[in-house]
Amino acid sequence: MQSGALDTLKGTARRRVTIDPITRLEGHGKIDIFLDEKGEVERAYYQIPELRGFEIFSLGRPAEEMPQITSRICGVCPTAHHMAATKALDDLYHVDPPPTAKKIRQLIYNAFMLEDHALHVYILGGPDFIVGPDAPKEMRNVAGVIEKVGVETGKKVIAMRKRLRELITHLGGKIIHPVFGLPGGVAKGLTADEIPALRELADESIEFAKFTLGVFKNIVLANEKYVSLITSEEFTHRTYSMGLVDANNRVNFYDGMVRVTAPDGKEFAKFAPSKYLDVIAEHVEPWSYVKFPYLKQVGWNGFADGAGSGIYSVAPLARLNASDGMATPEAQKAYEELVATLGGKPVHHTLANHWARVIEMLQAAETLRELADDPLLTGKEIRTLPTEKPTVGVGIVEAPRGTLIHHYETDERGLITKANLIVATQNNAGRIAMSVDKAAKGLIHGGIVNDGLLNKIEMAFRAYDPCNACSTHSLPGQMPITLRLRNGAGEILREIGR
Amino acid sequence: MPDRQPQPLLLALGNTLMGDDGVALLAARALQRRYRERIDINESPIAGFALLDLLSGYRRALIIDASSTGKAPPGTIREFHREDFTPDVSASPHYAGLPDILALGSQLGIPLPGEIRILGMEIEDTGMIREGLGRAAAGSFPEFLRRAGEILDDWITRV
Repeated sequence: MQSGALDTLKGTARRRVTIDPITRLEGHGKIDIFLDEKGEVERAYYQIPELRGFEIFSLGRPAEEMPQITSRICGVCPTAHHMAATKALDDLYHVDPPPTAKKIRQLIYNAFMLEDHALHVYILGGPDFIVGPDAPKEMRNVAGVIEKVGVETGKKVIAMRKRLRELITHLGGKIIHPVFGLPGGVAKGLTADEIPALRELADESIEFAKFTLGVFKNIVLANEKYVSLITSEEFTHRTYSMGLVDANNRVNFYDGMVRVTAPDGKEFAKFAPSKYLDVIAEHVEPWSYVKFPYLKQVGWNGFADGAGSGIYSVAPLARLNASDGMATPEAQKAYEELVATLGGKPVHHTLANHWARVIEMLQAAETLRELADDPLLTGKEIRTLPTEKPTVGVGIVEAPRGTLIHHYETDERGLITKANLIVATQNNAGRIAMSVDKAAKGLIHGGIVNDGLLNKIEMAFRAYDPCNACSTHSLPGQMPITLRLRNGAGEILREIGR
Repeated sequence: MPDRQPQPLLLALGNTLMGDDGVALLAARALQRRYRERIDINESPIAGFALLDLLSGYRRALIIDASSTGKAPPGTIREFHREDFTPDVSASPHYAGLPDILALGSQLGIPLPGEIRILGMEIEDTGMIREGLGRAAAGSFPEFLRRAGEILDDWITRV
């Protein structure tokens, strides 16, 4: 589509608009928007690709291989898969890692969360908010973000990301092939002489996270238009929220109980990872390969808001809603400001995910500092060796994109007999589908579709930081959006690409 | 910044757990013995902004990758050029394209290769987790190696 072009879709037949956000034609994320004869949206579908064949691939493999195998599945967050798989192995072999091992895992995991969130805030969310949802298409990219925030800030982001990645690599092996996680512990400990550099990096990370919060406030929150977009009904869904919490019901990325809060904010469920099948069930729709998870006790009642619908959300905002607050002091202050600004808790405005993400960056950075000061971090005992026969193991972590569940069962030799993954984007599938449908209905009228409207519909799913595919090829190097306008017979009336 | 690497880079992108998507990684492994002394060979299952780290410091880089444009039959080998890439907003950092990386490098003064060549093989995208190549990709694999080798040989003779 030409930048700024305005297309009025004429004709009387029922039409379909397809936004295919990636180059593949089948099996991957795309949006289909069906228009009626008046050009109004009948229904919009967001199709999330599903990992197929994982269980078959896993059968008969030694369970110890799963942290390496599953980290190779995803080119975006191998650390999250590696960690969830490692925790599933702890459970499978009935071992509790020593405190030092848990702290090393948390250190690596918080560094990963901070780095991943920073990339999203500046690079992915950046074009939507830092550059602006109505900015010309040519500016809505990394170059536009750098132009807005300045070259020095750009250098700061890249340098911080590089140092965090170096830390993760130093502690856990290459980011693309993490090797630190073992059932019952970690492969490598820390020594006291590594702590000063770690403290320095943690302090810089806190400053960086605070700086990012400042950028967000100055550019986004100071702009009334952005705030009204965040709080608009088009980008609001009152659903259940899910996330891991610590013993004080504070946000935890690495460990804890899974807590679910109702649309009114009250606790609905709190369960140990091993009990996830008691709470979560999956619904199948004829138009999607994806099974939509929902809360079993509420039931599947279609794509609907409210306490009567079992659809729930995960990801940063859901984590904040599912908790009683943040686990670190500066992040808690920022959280209280978010809640006060957006009208109290729970916050159901999808686009507030971007703000919640920055607050989580601050918690991750403060946690790095707390861990750096913890004498247990350099303890010598880093592994509890498994002695019992393996049976069933479930591991749950909070991936940057939300709750990630790994579940394995083995025979007594430790060979996989059953494997199940529920990835974050799948947990969010119901709510993302609702968000896209609502945004499309609110924004497209009389058959008018333009670049700005399409972007705002895409914003509805980008806020969740969805991970759409597991293969990693980059050619042809872009994510073109293709609109296909079809008549009732399915014939393509017009194809617009960019 | 470190000194610019005198050796060219062969960078293979893809995921061997996703069938044909791993074709470039398999190619890089097949080219190891012949080129490892004269070419830096690296492979990555991560694309997007990881390219910034992987390309930084090199003068010349050959990127080999799987492609799924849907515009050619599986097994088709094509050299991509910069004009084939359009900077665009990405739905994930995973999908950040090469133009984004090159633009960012240029804006921030990160030394990226002055000469980048990109060779892709169109793949059959089944969305299934599996190892090994499908028939079309396997059939074109020798030609993929030959085309990559041609570019690397040219660079070696020019060094």
